[in-house]
Amino acid sequence: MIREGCEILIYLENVSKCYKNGVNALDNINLQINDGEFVYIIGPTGSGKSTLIKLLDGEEIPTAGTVSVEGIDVGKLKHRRVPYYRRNIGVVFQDFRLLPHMTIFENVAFALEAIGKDKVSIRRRVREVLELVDLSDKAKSFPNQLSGGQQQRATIARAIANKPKVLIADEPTGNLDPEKSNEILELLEKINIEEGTTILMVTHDITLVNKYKKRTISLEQGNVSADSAKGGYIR
Amino acid sequence: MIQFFKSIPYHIKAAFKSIFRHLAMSISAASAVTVTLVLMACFLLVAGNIGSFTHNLENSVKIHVKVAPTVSEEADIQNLEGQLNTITYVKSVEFSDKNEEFDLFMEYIKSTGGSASYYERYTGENNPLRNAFIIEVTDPEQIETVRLEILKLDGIESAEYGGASANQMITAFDSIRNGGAIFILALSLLAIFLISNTIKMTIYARNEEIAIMRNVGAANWFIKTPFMIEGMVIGFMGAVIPVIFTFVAYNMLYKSLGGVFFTEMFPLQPLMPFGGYVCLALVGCGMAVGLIGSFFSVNKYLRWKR
Repeated sequence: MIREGCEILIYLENVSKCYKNGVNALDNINLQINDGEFVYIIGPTGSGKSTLIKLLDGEEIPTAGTVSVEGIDVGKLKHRRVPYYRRNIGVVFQDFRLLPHMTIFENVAFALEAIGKDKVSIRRRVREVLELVDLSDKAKSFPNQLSGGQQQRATIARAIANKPKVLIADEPTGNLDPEKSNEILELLEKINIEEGTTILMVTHDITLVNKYKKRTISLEQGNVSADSAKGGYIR
Repeated sequence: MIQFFKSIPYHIKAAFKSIFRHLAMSISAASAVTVTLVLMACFLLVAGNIGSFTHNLENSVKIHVKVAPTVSEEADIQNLEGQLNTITYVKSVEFSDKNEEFDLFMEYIKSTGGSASYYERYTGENNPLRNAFIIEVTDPEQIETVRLEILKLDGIESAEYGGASANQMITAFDSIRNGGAIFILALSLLAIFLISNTIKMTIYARNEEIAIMRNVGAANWFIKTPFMIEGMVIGFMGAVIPVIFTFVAYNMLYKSLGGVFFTEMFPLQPLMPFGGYVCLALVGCGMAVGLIGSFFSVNKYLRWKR
């Protein structure tokens, strides 16, 4: 189902992933996500969501099939090239993973330092993304002085600092109350529109999926059980 | 490559931050290096001096060949000298006639405090000594072979070298050097182990940071470099005391012994440039040990999954 007029960004063809311990996490998956899309990935625990993220992130290699992102065959990447590829992909985790001994500003700057950006452009970009996630006034605070929602916004700022093509959010609202969850989702929508970042959001939150309707891919036991462009929780 | 040089300040900053965060560990690893390097300094100082002793000793080993009294004609002596020169390992042949030999003997008697006048009557016609050749060899190890070769010639009464003990000393010096080298090597391995352990701890402590760096796509070398620098800095810290030790202790030793080791035969190497070379070697070894130690840890505990 190729959507006309859009560039294909992520393309999975007959992808299977079988772990060494015999677990069949993904079974012959075909997926296509276009540049600039906002997609939910839903499904019960063990349905292969995490594996899908790992395949896209280059952390795991598919047992069969091709994972291609921006025309790069992720599974065939040389070990040495994986980090450079990974700069195209921002990941946000449920448990934030901010460094406690650094301020919010430093946390975001750290991500850019780690890929060798120069100081001046780091400073400019960090201010920019903190503005975007509405944390400019918290730049000098430490993570433990922030609320959960604010911390999650900081991690989003860190993930998009390097202007990745794709932002993968792994249950970003898992630890937040509904109000804060809405805030995060609206932020992701804003990033999707303002930065043109393709967003894949893995979630369990039915209310969110039903409230902010987007393309929704549901996984079940390693298979795509539904892919609805209209969105809403299927089942 | 450009990115590498540009990021060096960042890595150095990160390395020092890490050292101060784990100061106790860093110091303990550095002191292991210190112990190793102090012993290594001793060893290098001894070995360096033994080298020059050996050189002197080797030079002093000469064969004294007595010519039979039947060979007295000038032509025969020259013939014999020619034959001696053709023997392999012979470096030089020097003729010393019996009067010269007598003078040498008298000098020896005087130097030992014997009564020279007692021997006065043996001068001239009464001189019982033989004409002699003094032979230097190129390789002291081969001195016995050369002696046996000389004895095969006609007109030789005897061939002796006073250097049996000298040869033994050379061998003894050699074994001191080799034994010391093995000892130092073993200690270096211990220091490498301790440093790699320290780096392992710092890697664990920075696990979160590393996970994030990986996540945002930091290159592998970028993650490794600070740890390598940290190892080298620890090695360098460990080298400071041994360097001071080398200068102070060796200078004191040199002055108190008056520049020689008991006899003029064993002159000590002057502090400069010898001490400088030793210090360079110490700093180099310290940093190399640190680098190797951290290299092991980094490769083992940052085992790169993709």
